[in-house]
Amino acid sequence: MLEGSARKELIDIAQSARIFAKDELRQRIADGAIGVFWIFLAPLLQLAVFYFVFVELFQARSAGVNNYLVFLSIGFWPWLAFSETVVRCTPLLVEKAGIAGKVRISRIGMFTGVAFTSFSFHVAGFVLVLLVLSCWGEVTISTNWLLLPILWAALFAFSFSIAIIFSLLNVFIRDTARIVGLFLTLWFFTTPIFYPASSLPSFSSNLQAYNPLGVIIAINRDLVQGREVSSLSSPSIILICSAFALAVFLYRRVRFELEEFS
Amino acid sequence: MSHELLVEVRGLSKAWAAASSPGQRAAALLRLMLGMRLHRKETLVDVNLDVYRGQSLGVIGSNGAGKSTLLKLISGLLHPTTGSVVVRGRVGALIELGAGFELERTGRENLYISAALHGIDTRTLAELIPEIVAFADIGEYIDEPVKHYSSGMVVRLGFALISALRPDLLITDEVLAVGDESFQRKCIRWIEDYIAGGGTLLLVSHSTYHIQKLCKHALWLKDGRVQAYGDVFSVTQDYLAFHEHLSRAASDSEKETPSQNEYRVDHVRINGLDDEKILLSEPSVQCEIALRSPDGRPPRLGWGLVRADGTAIYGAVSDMHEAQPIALPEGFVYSLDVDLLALLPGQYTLRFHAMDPEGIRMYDTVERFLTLRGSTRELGLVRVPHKWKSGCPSA
Repeated sequence: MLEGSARKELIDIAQSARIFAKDELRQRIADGAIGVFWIFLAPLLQLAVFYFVFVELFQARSAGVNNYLVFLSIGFWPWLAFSETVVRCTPLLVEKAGIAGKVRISRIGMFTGVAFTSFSFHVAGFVLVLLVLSCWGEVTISTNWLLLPILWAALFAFSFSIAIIFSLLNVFIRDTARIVGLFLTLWFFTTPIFYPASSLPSFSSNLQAYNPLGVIIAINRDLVQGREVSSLSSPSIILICSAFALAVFLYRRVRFELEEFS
Repeated sequence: MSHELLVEVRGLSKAWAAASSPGQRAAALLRLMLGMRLHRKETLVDVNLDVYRGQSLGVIGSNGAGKSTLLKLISGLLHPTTGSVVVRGRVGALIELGAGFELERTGRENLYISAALHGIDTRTLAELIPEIVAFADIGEYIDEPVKHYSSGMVVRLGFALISALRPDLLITDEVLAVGDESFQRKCIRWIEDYIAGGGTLLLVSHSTYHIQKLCKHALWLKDGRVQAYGDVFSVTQDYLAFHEHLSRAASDSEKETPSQNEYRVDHVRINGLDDEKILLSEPSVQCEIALRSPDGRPPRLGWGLVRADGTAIYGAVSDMHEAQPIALPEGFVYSLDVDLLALLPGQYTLRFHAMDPEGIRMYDTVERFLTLRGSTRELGLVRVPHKWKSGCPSA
């Protein structure tokens, strides 16, 4: 049994997470002219853009890639979920300092709620893209797909960890939010999203074992396309766990200072 | 007031980290990561406080005294550095002139999130919104972004929300300082009803008038410490007197009374006491003033009554009323009875001046500080005799 104060804290976290997750969803829907339909329309439009640009316009091909649209879509959505969660949440602790200074909220609960909604938006998009691609006959539903929720849960844990590390750093060093954009651009181009890892020089290709996102994206492609998972690398698993451990460590060290520094 | 303890504050202290520049903030982060302590400055020191259900407590103090910090700690917005705060009940807080509204959102959107954070579900809030909008008197502005509101409108909406929630403990920080007269009256009426209905109030205000009007008890914070806690009139009067002393000290800083005089005040006894500070239970004093004379001639006595801030109230010299001292071997003694019935509660100073027999020059001055207690909300220095006439005005 949890002690009274720990139980109360958990209830506070859950309540704040629920309120801010709903609020974030409401904001995202309210900001668009077509409201809730934007959740469904945005990924379809994105897919249409990929199709037009890479299939019709560039007729893109890549060595070892049978269907570039499928390759790109399945690689791009995990990245989108990750990067948007990080970008949305990095300034969050500073952005919500006003309300946190006047109404009693759990900061970590608020952060979790917003991160969850940001990420879930793209999970919904990915599910829709899978449905469209399978309806088109571009991908085939297989038992491998049952493992996708586990992979995406790991992706959420990693996105959340990176986001909270940056957000906590941003409370103390306000340049962090500016640097994150550049950092993500670098990460984007060094991750095999638009190109297969096999097209990289051997040195860069070997380094992909240390890129958790590259590994997650590769596994995502394997699972969706019914292939055997070949890219599970222990350095990446260690890095994902380390990011989570660093996030927990940092949060525990600075949690009581957030009210003052943010 | 019931005997149910709603707020229990024990040994409460809060110290802020001294880190404002980007470099200091980065250094603070490094220290925290290494498990080292931060350099801190104490804002609140060892505050102990009990607030019972139905109690109304005003918190007063100069800027930076720690009032808002105390309220934030009680509201759960801050964590104490040491000590503890236990609150048994639902808190509604309006801290630093707002309810935490986001500027880009409309009033209605802000209400939904604020209400949810106060534990009010969407359906209940929807029922309360007409009442909130009517109380705040903001009409169609409810659907405008809060950035288009005046500061008064923001406070009105915040107060309207909190009032609709009817918390067990209402915490307001300077809410009555913003907003027009009619809204202030509306707030005061609501707070009075709330207290009469068993609500508990913690009110921070620089207006001792509002504190005296709405609170039965007061807490005076000075430099983060409790300077006084108790009956609202005693505490606020001491607080005002303190500021009056400060004002006078500032204006008197250039004046220095010479210590050695030919004619001088030997001693002063008020109501038989030699004390410098006297707390009066009755509004009258009996004074015995002994004067020294270097040449055996009886000196004249000047006396005056001033407010603690130095505002003169009355003054006279013995020869004006042909008063004569009693001649004793060691000097001359004047006896003086002063009726203070007309004075309003507060702190006053009695000044006695030794003057030459011609009454031309003042040689020495001795002061005695009087504190006059009372439970009145009348304003000013003296009670001016007056009479209210009830009924219809004459045609």
